[in-house]
Amino acid sequence: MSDLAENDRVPFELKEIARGLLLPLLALLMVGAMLTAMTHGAANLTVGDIFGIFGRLLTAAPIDDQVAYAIIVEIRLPRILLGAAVGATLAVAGAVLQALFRNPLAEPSIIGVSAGAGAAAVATIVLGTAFGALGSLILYALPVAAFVGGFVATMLVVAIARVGGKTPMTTILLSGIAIAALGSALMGLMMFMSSDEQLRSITFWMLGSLGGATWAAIVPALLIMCMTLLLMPLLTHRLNLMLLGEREASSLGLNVDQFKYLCVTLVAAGVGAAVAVSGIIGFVGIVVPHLLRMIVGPDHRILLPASALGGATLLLWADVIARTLAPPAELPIGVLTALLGAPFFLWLLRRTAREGMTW
Amino acid sequence: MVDVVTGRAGGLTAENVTVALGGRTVLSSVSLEINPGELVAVLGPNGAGKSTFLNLLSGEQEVQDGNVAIAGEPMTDMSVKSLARKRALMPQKASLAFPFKVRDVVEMGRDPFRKEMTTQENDTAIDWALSEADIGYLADRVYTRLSGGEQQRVQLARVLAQVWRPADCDEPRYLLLDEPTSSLDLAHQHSVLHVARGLTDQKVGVVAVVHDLNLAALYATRVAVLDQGRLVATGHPDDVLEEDLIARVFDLSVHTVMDPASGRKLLVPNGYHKRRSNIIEIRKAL
Repeated sequence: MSDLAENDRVPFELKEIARGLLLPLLALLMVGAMLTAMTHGAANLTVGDIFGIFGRLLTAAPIDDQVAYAIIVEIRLPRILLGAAVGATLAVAGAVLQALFRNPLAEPSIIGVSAGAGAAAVATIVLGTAFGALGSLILYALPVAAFVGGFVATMLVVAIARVGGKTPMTTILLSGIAIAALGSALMGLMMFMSSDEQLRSITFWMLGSLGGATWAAIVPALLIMCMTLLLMPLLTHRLNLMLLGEREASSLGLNVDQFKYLCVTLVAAGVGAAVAVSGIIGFVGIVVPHLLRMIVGPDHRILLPASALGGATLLLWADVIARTLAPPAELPIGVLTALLGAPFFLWLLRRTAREGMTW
Repeated sequence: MVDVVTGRAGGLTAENVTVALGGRTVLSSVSLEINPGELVAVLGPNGAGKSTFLNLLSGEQEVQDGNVAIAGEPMTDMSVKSLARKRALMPQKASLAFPFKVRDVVEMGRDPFRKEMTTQENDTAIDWALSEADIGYLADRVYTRLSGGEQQRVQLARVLAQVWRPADCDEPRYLLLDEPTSSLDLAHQHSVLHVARGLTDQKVGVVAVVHDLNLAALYATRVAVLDQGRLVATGHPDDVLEEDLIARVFDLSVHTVMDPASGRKLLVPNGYHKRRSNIIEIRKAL
């Protein structure tokens, strides 16, 4: 027993160091990813160009290079902010749901938010243009519909899951699966009804993309995502208690059912906003918190900020690759995250199982 | 017993409580009062309603009929927050499956007091709980890699931290332990009940579900025996734990011996005989 304890100490102290350094390191990685995303693309710019433009903006000096200005401020900056916010939101939402379900395999789509948002958006594309009523308003109607659809689907899941005054996580899971299936069926029906042109925009949207990032289109979603991200630190202690078990958390003074509603609402709002502007991007919400939990442990005081930074970094890199792999064409980012995420996740699972570790 | 804070009388009381789960009556009109300074061992065969009774005392199980109160205040009127400051519950099974450090798990027991007590006070509580549960040497280890017995002692430390108060505080509070010794080795079974008994000097009322009758006899100030949802006996262990009652409640024939070393009455089983109820069922089947 005593030498087992000794053996355990070494990796643990390394872990302590990793814990202390991880947040600054992740922040640095995110800034690096942002600069890379700024400089790379159809037109390559230097870091100097970027600082030049921002320097002039800050000092209110006249802009000499209008092309560089347009590329940086009008095209790449909104896209980068959107990528960072969507990545952070998806990863933090994953971490929160994994704590609520006390299962590391939970991810945002589990509560029906993605399917609800997807069905509503696809319905808007097909029915909206079919009736011709929306016209050019479709650009704005789409994110609103997706957000509302995701939110309503999640509230439906939680309402159905409520049994005898309580909301057990297992019934949330099961009703989430059912609502997601219903959403996919609706999407399938809409695709069946759609024209070829509509089908193209539907598939691109369902595979996820940051390509729609213009300032006007993303500001409302950005605000919602930032708000949910800023509220998350208030949940950390209570999420830790949830990991102890619902009975234990309750006897430690946590109103478990109320807390579940709060978390699910925040996740639905954040992920709903993310899906509304970037489509369905998978695997960020499951891989990022899972991987970081292996490094820093399950304490949400560190895990949540780490997930936010990690998710932002991952999605920014994925977007750089999606944009630069075959310019001027763009790979759908959801395809990329799944292509990279799925094998990585399988490797992680195998490794975890082999070492006989629990997540 | 008068509560110094609320000025109200009464300890932790259950009054004529009846609970039916899934159409089966699990507890029927049970009444019991636990006062600070007492260690009450709840005894009874499997399925007698012991865990349900403990859940009821903790406020977790809804009262269907009757009343559960702390210092005269019905539990249904109390918020989960204020309950968490008055009582701690150690469930029979722990469901923690995430790799927290042992110290972090124990620290969660202080969550109800995180904001109102100083970090120093909370740290004192955690250190005290770690040492009382004899897991000081495990403080930096990962919970999920510990043995079942070690994990159980970590959970014990967590609830001990929850009932800790500074020395000058005489606020009554209650510790509810559901089979706290089920995975423990012999020495730790005794150390847990010794710690529980020690708490009775600090204005804590302890209720523990225990299966080892001699362990109960040795440490409890009072025992309460449940059988098929009814409270069939309560009182000092030496008075309650006699041969007839054990035979009736547990279907086990025992005899008592006076232990010359401790001066306490101990129970020795006479060997196993098939339960009467089983024999009746077999007869019916034939």
